Amino acid sequence: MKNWKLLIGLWTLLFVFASCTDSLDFDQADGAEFLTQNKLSIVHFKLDGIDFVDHQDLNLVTAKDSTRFDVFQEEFIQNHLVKLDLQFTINNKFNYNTLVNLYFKNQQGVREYQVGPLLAPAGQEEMFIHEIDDAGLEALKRSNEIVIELTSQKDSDAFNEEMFLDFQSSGIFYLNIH
Amino acid sequence: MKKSVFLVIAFICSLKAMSQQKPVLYNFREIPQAQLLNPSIIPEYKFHIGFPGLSGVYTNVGLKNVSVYDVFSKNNNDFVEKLREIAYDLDKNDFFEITQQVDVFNVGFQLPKSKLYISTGIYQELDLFMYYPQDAVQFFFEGTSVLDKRYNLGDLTVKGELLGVFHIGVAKQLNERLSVGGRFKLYSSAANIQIKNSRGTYYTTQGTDNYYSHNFEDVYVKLQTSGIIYEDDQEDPTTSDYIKNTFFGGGLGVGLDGGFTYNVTDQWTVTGSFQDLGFVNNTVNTKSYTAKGNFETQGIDFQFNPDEPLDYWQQLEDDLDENIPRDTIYSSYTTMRPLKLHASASYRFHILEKCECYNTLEDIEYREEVGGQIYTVFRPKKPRIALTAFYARRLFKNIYSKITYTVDSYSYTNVGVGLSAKFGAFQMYGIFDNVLEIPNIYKANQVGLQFGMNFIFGGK
Repeated sequence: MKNWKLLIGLWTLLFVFASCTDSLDFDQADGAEFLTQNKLSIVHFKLDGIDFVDHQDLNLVTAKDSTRFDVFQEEFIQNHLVKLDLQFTINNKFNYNTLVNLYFKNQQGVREYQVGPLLAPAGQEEMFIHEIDDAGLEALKRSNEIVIELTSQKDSDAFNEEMFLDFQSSGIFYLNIH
Repeated sequence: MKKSVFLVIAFICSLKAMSQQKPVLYNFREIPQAQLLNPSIIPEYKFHIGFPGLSGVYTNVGLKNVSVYDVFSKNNNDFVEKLREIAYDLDKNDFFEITQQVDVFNVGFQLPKSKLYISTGIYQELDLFMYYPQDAVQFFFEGTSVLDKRYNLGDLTVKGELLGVFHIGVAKQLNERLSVGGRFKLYSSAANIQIKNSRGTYYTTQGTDNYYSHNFEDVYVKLQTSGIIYEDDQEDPTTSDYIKNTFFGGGLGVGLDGGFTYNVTDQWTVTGSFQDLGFVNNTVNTKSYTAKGNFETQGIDFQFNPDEPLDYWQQLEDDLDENIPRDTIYSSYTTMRPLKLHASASYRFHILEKCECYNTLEDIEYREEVGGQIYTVFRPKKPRIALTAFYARRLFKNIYSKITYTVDSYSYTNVGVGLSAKFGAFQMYGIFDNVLEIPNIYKANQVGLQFGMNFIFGGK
């Protein structure tokens, strides 16, 4: 009997100690939001003037290229992308003002979102920042193709091998992970 | 995504866990389950049988440098900021370890007219070990926003297994001073996961042709799984599948335990043992993934060639596949069990009475014992060592106690307490590790609990 009392006493003591716990709030984790920024290169190219010598007779010279771009179709991006800052640098060493348009198209080829026209003045390097959120972002999330279109207003100067147009682009993807 | 957030929180909240060291149970001769740590123990009774499913229940989860309280306490601090601070305080040598073990059955008996004690049983074991993936967690917070910061993929080291163990052991008294023992184990693995020897770095740097250059350098990652990942057209495993595989429907393996007890003098004793020198061949629905190589991209490079339009996106994917080929392997693989070593030296004193025990030196029973123990477990990067000082005492007839003080790489305040009591043939025991933390369990860095019930016949 004495043994039983001792044992019960010890166990009770342990549980009394164990019950002295501070209050916690595990629900804090429910509302937790982790905001991260991801800098990603997107498209770049360099056009050489020498490649356009066949277009010397034209007043308007255009160039166009496109690619499938599935980033916005990813489930992770669909759920967590809350803002996108696009950044462009265009170094226009053509001697002509050039307009650059970016189109984001959906699977049916319909334009969902457009950036531009961006004016790249002749002989200059220009940087552009284009911020997208809310409605723009929803449109982007329906797209899976990027199209870039350039239009140069050519004057009397002829294309030559010294000329080039350098284009760089990147995005800062703001993700809210919750 | 909630899963990944949960994982990050789990990583951060469960660091530097204590291992499955059982300093209180080691050489606690009155508890039959002590034979699982040192098979050379010849108990002072003739027969024992564990209460089915309850003869040995062990669980150990530990936290260090951070507690549940630190993360979840009610205060005005922002939860994410708290997590971020903790995440950056920890480093890649911190680890998470959880061990759980349940004796399904355990029985032992002394062979008549001999000094041989044979014991056998089955237990289930879960063992999960993971180093804190410091760079992966920091990448989670930072994304690719920090240029030139190299994130080490070599931090990824995980080893986990769920298995059943059938064991049979024998302890033999070789002479008056020396007893030795061995235990053969048959493992049945229900689930296994392993990532080891990973290497490589990821970093974003200023590009030359575009804003940023994204780089994977010397990447090697191998994830091996068994019984965890199923194909979409396969049914997810049920609890009964895991139970079936745990009890010898899974991948099989074998292992050995061994040990000795040497009474240097009447009062001085040294012991040593090893556990789980063995391997498991994982065969249950194995699926492994490897990725190896180097890759660099600055984005998509438009060519403006209308005569040969290119699918640049496909090209990028092909480049990635070519430079970092990723394979899925379905063949079985072998894993080593984590080897554990124990050793102790102790001194008994305070003669209580003459008893009629069959194997004690000159039939003397000492009431008190002090000593030291050392424990080592071999983990993926390096072994981990724990040093323990202990004091054991018989409190009353059939009530025994043991107090330990353990120091390892991470804790200097781990005090453990164990109590074994026997009432007739019924014996029960309870062990608390790190009792100093019990007053506020949520502030504890580590808590270990073990209890069990047995029936013991003959002798003490």
